[in-house]
Amino acid sequence: MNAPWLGIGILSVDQSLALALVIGLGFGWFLERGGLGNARKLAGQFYLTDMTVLKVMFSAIITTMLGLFWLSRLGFIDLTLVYLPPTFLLPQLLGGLVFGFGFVMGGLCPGTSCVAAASGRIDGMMLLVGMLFGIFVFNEIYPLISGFYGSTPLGQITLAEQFNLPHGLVVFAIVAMGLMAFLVAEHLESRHGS
Amino acid sequence: MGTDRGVNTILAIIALTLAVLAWLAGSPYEKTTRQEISPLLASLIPAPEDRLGVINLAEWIRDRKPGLRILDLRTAEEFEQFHIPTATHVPLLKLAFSDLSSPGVTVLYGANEEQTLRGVLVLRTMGITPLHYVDEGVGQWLKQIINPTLYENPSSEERTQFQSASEVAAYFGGLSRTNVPRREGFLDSTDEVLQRTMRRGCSF
Amino acid sequence: MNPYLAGVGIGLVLLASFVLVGRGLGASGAFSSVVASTIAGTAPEHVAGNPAYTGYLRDGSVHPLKDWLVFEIIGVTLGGLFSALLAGRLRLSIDRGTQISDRTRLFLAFGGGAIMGIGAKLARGCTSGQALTGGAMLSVGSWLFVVAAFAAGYLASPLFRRSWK
Repeated sequence: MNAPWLGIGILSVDQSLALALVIGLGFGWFLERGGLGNARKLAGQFYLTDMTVLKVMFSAIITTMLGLFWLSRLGFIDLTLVYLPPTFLLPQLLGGLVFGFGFVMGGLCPGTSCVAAASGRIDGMMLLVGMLFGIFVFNEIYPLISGFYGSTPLGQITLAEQFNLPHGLVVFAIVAMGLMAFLVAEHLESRHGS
Repeated sequence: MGTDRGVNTILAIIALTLAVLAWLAGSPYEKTTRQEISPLLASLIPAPEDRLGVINLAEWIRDRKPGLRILDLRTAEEFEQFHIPTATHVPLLKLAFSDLSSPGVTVLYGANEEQTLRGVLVLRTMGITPLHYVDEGVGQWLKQIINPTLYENPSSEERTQFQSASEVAAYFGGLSRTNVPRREGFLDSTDEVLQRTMRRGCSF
Repeated sequence: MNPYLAGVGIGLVLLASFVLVGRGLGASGAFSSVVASTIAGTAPEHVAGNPAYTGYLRDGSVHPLKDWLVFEIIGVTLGGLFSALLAGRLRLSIDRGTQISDRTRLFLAFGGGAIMGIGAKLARGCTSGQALTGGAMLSVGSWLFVVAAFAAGYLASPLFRRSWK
């Protein structure tokens, strides 16, 4: 097991902060190159006229997922030391619904709004300000909703564990689903003539 | 767009190949094999009534059972990392030379079944009674007392066990979970459970 | 750039992040740190006892902005800036449909941002932290978030059709 470097003590915390800058740089670069700084392009996803969001996001998930699976299988990375976001069913369901509504309204998500703002788009900057305000509102009402926020916890659990399926089968299913979604996306875009 | 098409096809073929191989490989973890205990030792296994479950032990600790003495046979590092509350660290090698003359109930546990049973044999030859052993180890303590879990569609036996476990769990600051799906053929080692429990809780 | 290649690029960056520091990308978390440190700086007594703030301020020994996600999001912004600069795409503009005014677009951007902020807090992450990072780790909650977010997006899309035409 040679990774994660921070988890097994090869990296110091300060070095990891410097790396954060470099990793973010790569993330922002590819988001901008993929065209995801443009709110109209992102919103097109919801009107089936521009499937860039699906293509970029799903191919990124597939790349990382396959990479993690095989690096772990070959003994290079210890997956138990990698952070797995815990599951809270109802808050995440409701949070997703609220988020999706805001997404189609604002046309950018938190990460892409930084790229939009950085490339000079005023709507991106405005969205950032709105998001800071939304977080502030949430924090203010947090004491009232903390019960709901912590409800229906399932712990740190993966789809493979939840449905009692082999991990590799779930990986395969997601890749197959993604490739099919890409075919549909290409078809929709060519039909739309863009 | 022609070159894009070619690139996309190549990417799709790579992804599909890796995915099919992942399906065949099944698990992203390398296989671990369980250690077998030697047949001679197994034939000397002490009376099963001396075997103690972690839940019983937890109740004894909670109720401050008079004269209770818990011995941890593992290495100093393992003891340092995590041990059952109130346990004393006595490595297996030093066990025969330690002073256990005061009366009381002795409970023993080690890193695995083999180490625990060896310890039991040593104490038996020293004439220490009453003597109990926990052969499930620290992993089971973490699993049942710190993270007691009720799997989906539980049998009535599992339900009873979970109820008594979550009662003592509350005393030790454990967190109960219910309706958890079952996983087959998955052996949690102490390290795995520990890492899961202590996985860095950084926020998103 | 071919969107699939951009996706693979992001995937490899995310993979590098997992290998090097054992965690993935995120965005909304960084803004939580910004909000928490701003409010704590202006009204320290106000944040006391509210875990939504104190969780991001930690024990106070380290500045709340000296945080992995904050540095990462600064990197994201710089990366976007360099990419746009080199491609000659850097200029002040507003992306909107042709049937609405700039003012309406900015209002919708602010509102959408605020709603997304609340949703991301409830879900413990956004498209970066949940969809990409949690999705690649096969987290149950992350996939639930993705499905819910896109379902809501498609359901609500007729309401905003005019603003994107």
